[in-house]
Amino acid sequence: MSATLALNALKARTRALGKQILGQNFQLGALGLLAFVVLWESVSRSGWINPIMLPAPSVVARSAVDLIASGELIRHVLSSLWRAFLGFAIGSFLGLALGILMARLPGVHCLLNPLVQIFRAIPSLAFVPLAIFWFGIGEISKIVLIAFGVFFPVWVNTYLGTRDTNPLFSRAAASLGARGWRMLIFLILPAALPFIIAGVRIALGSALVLLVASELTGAQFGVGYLIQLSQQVFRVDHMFVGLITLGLLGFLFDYAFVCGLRKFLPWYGAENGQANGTR
Amino acid sequence: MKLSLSIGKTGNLSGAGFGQLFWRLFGRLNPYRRDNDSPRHHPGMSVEDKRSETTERTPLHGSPDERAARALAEPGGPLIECRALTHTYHTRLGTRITAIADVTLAIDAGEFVCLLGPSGCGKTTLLNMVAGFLAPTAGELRLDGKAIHGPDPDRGVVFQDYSLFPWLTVESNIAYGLLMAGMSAERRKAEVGALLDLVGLPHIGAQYPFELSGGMKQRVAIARALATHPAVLLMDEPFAALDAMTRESLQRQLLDIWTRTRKTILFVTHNISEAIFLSSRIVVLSSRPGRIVEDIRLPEDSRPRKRTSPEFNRLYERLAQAIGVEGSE
Repeated sequence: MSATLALNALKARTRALGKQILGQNFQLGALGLLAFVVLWESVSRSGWINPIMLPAPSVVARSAVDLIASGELIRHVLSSLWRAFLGFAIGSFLGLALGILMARLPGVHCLLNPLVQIFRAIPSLAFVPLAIFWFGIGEISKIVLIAFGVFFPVWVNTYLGTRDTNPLFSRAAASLGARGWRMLIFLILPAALPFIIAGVRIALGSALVLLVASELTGAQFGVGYLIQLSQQVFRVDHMFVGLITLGLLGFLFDYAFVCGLRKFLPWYGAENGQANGTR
Repeated sequence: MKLSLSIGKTGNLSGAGFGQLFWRLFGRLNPYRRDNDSPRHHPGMSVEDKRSETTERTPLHGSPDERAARALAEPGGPLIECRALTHTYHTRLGTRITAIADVTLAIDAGEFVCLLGPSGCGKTTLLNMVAGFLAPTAGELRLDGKAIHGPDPDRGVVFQDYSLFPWLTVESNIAYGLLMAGMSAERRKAEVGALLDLVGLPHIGAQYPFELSGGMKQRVAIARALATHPAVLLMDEPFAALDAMTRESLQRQLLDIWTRTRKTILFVTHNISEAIFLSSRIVVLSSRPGRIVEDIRLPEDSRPRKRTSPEFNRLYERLAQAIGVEGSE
């Protein structure tokens, strides 16, 4: 009995995940995806195009299975994840800290604002050659680059959210006895949380971009490096495996992020929706 | 009692003749009644006694409960004292606007005072000054004999807009002030339970504000403001955003809370019938600059005041005239 229940729950969950990926109309979405794969397969097998340039999805799938079985893909993914995680943690910590400092201390803001604005205007990809020149092609240059790219979206949103606290909330908290650091911890930060979360979500995307960009320049392992290496040895099927892996990683990051929000901050989206609906 | 004489001296309506019937019906209601008629004073206490008590008032100390108890036990001095209070500000275009001009008002512990006036008459400015959100441009403002500087848990505030913290559950919202005061989790839980019972929402502690209706939110906001045992509850048009039925039900509940706790309440509204239904005293402010034009004490024995009764309607007409609205609502 409980087994059927569990099975049903699993089915429901799979369906929900499917909906998330394929949109509201599950069947139609699945049909579109299937049509794309069939078209790709037939074009690749038709003989109009060199199958080395465009390997069929069945070939790509076989290569993926091989790469997974040999443990190679896992090593690429793990080293990429580790870099992304370190860079993301360092970058968002610095963004959070500096955002709060600049919003709360006008002196720090005046001192650092021009500097940060100038650096923000430079696309972070442009720093790739410089980072490699300074830190080599080892782990440090990659982590620094990712941290650099993650820093700005987190900083901007933390700064704005912390600066523009709803005065109604600050008044309410002040009349309830919140002062100084308690005001910061128990009011300003939670009130700025929606902004900070939005910044972190943007940063997730830019972390992935910089991860690949830094790995393309050379590494021993990494999904970006897998793509680069495959190009050099004419393994277009491996390039496709790398691309699909990146797509899946990006999607899973975002999905995990949204699930975490729903679980730990149930008020997050609801409050916004209601604010739009009623006022 | 010099203090109170200066309170309610009202200008333009002092000589207006109202129907004799009104006074007969409302009996003890008399806008010009002096404070020594007030039944709240100890009968044997002379004016001098009361004065000395006011000046030698002990500073604010002890637990909030003791403070509230003392405020009730010492009916001599007013709890809130505004003297020649003025607030001016500059608009973005540089125009100087006087929101409140020369307001002198004394509010005793246990009173339910409504500040009534048209929109933009400065009643919220006055409330914000008492709350400590705004500083007076001129004049004095005292709570329990001590000058007011900034917001403090001894003045609980309920806002017009929903001000519950959206990231906290109802329980945590109510416990916020207690947490700031460093109360232990166990005691907080007990206090929150009692407060939820007081506002009639015993089962919603674990919910988030976004799950509540407007009326429930304001009841939770009242509970949150009462949690720190403030000497006075300041309410800024708390029911203005609610629909008429919810508003009336909340008015009854607030009255019930006031009867049970005898908390001093300063309530801002532009709704005349709300003011008549709730208050033990109505202070009418004129439009810009806000000045006191009427100060009416309502008899307690007329409660609950029926909105359909003739005396209610007569008072309504009178207040509507004072505000400058032709009796429409």
